[in-house]
Amino acid sequence: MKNTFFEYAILALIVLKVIITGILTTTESFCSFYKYENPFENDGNKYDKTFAAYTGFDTGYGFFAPNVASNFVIISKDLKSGNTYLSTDLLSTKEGKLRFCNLNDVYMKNITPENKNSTDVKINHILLKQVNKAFESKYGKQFQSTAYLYDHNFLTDPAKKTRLIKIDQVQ
Amino acid sequence: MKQSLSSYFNKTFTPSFIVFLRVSIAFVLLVHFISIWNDFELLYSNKSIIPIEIHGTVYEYNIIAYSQIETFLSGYFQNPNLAFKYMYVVLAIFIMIGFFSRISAMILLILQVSLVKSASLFMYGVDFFASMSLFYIFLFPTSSYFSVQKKFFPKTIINFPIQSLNICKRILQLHVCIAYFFSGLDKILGFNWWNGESVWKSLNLPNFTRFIHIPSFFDEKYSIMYIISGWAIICVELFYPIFININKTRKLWLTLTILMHIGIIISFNLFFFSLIMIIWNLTSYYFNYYEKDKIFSENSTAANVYN
Repeated sequence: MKNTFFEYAILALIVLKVIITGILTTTESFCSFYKYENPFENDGNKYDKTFAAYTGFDTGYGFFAPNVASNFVIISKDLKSGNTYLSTDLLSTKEGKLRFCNLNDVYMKNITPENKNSTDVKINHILLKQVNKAFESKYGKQFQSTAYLYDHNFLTDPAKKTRLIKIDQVQ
Repeated sequence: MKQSLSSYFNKTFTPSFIVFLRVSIAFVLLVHFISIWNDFELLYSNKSIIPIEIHGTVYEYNIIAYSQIETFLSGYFQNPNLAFKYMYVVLAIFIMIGFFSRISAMILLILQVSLVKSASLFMYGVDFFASMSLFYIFLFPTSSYFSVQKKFFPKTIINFPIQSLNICKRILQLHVCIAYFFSGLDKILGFNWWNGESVWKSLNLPNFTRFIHIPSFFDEKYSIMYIISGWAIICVELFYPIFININKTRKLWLTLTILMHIGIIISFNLFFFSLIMIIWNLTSYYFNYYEKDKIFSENSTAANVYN
């Protein structure tokens, strides 16, 4: 069976979309990592964004690249007993915990200098409050929740100890 | 050049890859969805730990929000979240068995996007590839082969076979090639991938569970291993579009890529993401290349081979 013009057009459209998204996301992550101004920064077309959202074509492909972002952990403490919990303890399934962990990464905005005191940081504080509230309603006790940056030692600097750096706290 | 392009776009493919894509993706999506069954309300409903409105302030999408679907369903069902869950499962099963799989994929795509993008802070790579896979199941003639619809409602499939299998295969192949190329390019642009730090750091991230914690066996003294691993991953991804399309190296590259994804399962427990990527690889470069297909010619026997 011969391919039709319409089929070639769809193929061209998809390939172009994937390439353009690849270029844009690569440039964005490169500029963000090396602190350059992104030459392609724009809000995009509303219809294109909707199409991309509904097809999954709005993703780039640079997983763990160009740099592996640091992780953050949220630890909640029962103020009466002193017991501590990870935020993921609010959930029971492995996949649920994995998804909930993605939330922790928003705290990256708290440590980037240009975002200090921004709305994003305020939102992150609300997120931490929500986690704390969830523990309090789950256990019926008073909790204190803290977001930490997980600072692991480098391959080239084994002497450096892994540590937790406090980012934000609510009670 | 013209001749190469002509032969590239005129090669005949059997529908086995489309059947495999439909059944395996639907199965993975079903298991993936069931895997958060008990936490569904805590993640997505109006009783979730993080209210949906907060997700919207961080990432904004122009989509039908899950809260709208939840409100709509609450008009008909006492427990709208449970109704949504059953709808999701039923649609995934419809796709798997080929019961109006294209329409089912379209509806499931709308539901899936609404769900994961409404709670965008809980999203990760697998969700995008799940959406893309559903889009392809909708786009390709997936209901036309080895399906309940073909068997029991053949008249609902108009002008069979109406779509070119070659174009479907090429779309997926080109997509997977571009995806790996950019994945490799992004990595080579980061200097921490050159010195092993990225591999070391990713294997020590606290937010992933893992089957084997490799740094427990190979600590900083084995830094050369992490440097080699980083470059090996870059090479496999960056040169994927070249070596996967050369007959002599295809099997090697397919094996290396699948091994890389198995490594991701072992080291990060990103089970569903890796499975979808392995399915994309097999659909694109295993079927019609290595598996023993039934003899197939589009003109005469397309309807009979996978009926």
